[in-house]
Amino acid sequence: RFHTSVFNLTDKIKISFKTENDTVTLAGSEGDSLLDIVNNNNYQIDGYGACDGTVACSTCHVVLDQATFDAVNKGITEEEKDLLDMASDVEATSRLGCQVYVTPAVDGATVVVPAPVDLRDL
Amino acid sequence: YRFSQCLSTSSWANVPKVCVIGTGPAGFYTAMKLVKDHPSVCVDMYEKLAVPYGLVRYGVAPDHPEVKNCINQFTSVANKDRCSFLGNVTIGKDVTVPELRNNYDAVVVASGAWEDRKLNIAGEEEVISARRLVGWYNGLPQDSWLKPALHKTEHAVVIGQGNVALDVARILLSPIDRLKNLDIPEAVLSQLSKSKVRRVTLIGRRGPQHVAFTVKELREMTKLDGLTYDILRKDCENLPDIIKNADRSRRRLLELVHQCSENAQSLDRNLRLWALRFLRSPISVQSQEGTVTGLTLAINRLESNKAVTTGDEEELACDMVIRSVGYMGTKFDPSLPYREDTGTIDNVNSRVTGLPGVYATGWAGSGPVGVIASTMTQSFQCAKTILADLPALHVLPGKPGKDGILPLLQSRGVFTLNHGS
Ligand SMILES: Cc1cc2nc3c(=O)[nH]c(=O)nc-3n(C[C@H](O)[C@H](O)[C@H](O)COP(=O)(O)OP(=O)(O)OC[C@H]3O[C@@H](n4cnc5c(N)ncnc54)[C@H](O)[C@@H]3O)c2cc1C
Ligand code: FES
Repeated sequence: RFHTSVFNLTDKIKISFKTENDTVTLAGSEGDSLLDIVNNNNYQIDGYGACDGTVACSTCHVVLDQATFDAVNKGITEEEKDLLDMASDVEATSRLGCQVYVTPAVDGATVVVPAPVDLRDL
Repeated sequence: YRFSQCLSTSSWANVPKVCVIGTGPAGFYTAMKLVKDHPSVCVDMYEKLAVPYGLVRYGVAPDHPEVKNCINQFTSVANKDRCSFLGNVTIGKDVTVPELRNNYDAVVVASGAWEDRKLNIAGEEEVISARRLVGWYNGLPQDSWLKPALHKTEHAVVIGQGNVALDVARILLSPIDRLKNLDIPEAVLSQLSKSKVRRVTLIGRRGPQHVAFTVKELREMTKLDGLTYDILRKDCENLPDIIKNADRSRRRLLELVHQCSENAQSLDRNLRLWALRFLRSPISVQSQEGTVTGLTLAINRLESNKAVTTGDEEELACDMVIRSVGYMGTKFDPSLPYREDTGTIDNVNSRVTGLPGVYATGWAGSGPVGVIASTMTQSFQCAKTILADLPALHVLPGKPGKDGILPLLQSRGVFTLNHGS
């Protein structure tokens, strides 16, 4: 247990979040979820993470690139897939940001936060 | 009032003022986006109840507290200097929409859908409305009088196969130990603890491919301790063919329904049980001295995905009938254009037809479908539309906002409740 906390002090992992309006690069530590990284940096993405990471809302939906998806794609649960079914613009490499935990392997990755789409506009 | 104090009279007139009717997710997400994307706009939120959050407080089931976490985001909106909450004000009764229009640059209708659809069958007066039952177990004051005869009910039938129907089934079938530490009023818990409910049957007019609930809620039902289910294998025989052509989310849902119908055969039917029955429409409810004894159902068949009666009927013995066939908008102000069939307010991209400066969002604008996340998306879009229109709507000398409304309320003896600011 002690070892884990020491490992958490390793170099910061940088992730770029591409939202509707801009792209921002935020730093986090190994074991942080993408939602943690957004919150810990006090970065505001409208409505992001409404259920505080309890897999109950889908507002933390992100689309990853294939390499990042493969690097973190361990332990995607049926419950996570169930919620992704309710998000808009879901793609094959979609995840819930609160369930993606970063590792040094994904340092430098860019994740896309899809713009909310009003279904009535379609 | 906080912000009028810190601004001189002339600059206060320059501030655009928007009011929101209703403080559910639609109202809060609209206010959140308006305040974030505009440097000075002030938003007053009017609510008929004493407390905010709409169906998040009084609809979402108490055993889903994590869904209610969005309240954290709402509170941070309510605490902003440029937002005010005015509770205990019923628009249409205490103040009218035309009066709001006279005092604000824009008016947002985010009042949800608070009526429920009826079955229109003989014996309807014995049918319990799911809307009321949900209000009752969530502590909605107006529904606290409801005393469902759970102590005399073994078999409850729910007409409807949406998420609300599943919520009701889950709460009625939950052992009291699962509920007792949740946010449920004491009086309700006491009645639930006397419940004799062993079986809840959910009736659908059409086939298993038409269920309206979502996969997350169904999966939860299959995983609850001490609970089993009954779905007839023969009802689901055609699902594999239908699944082939379904999109991702529909496919995953129907796969689970199909899997349940396969599993159900080997489950212990002596446990508390929920069941799905298809191709049935209620015709009448039978009762004796105010106690429900059964339900007559018409047997349907499908004709190009529509339910058509076969002319055959079936009796189903039960002790309680609950209708859960959808919510409806309330026509709370005669100046708004309502659609007869749904009770929603006529609008195009949130702009209310024929009323410049009036917007509708959430369930009030699009009908009682979708989850909090979809309401959020719509309301962000609504806020963007308002911001695009605002330069044309906000003409000087500016409108007074709540400084014009509060004296009206006072003169009418309405006591407003303030939260947050
Ligand atoms: C039983 C039930 C369970 C649900 N469970 C979930 C769930 O688990 N997860 C999920 O994502 N979604 C769930 N939903 C859906 C979710 O509740 C809705 O998507 C959302 O609440 C719609 O928001 P709204 O703001 O349009 O309406 P509402 O939440 O209904 O808010 C409308 C507000 O307006 C107020 N109001 C109405 N008329 C007036 C008036 N004349 N003057 C002033 N104020 C007024 C009301 O009091 C209310 O506070 C559920 C819905 C129901 C019915
Ligand atoms: S924050 Fe709600 S599902 Fe991830």
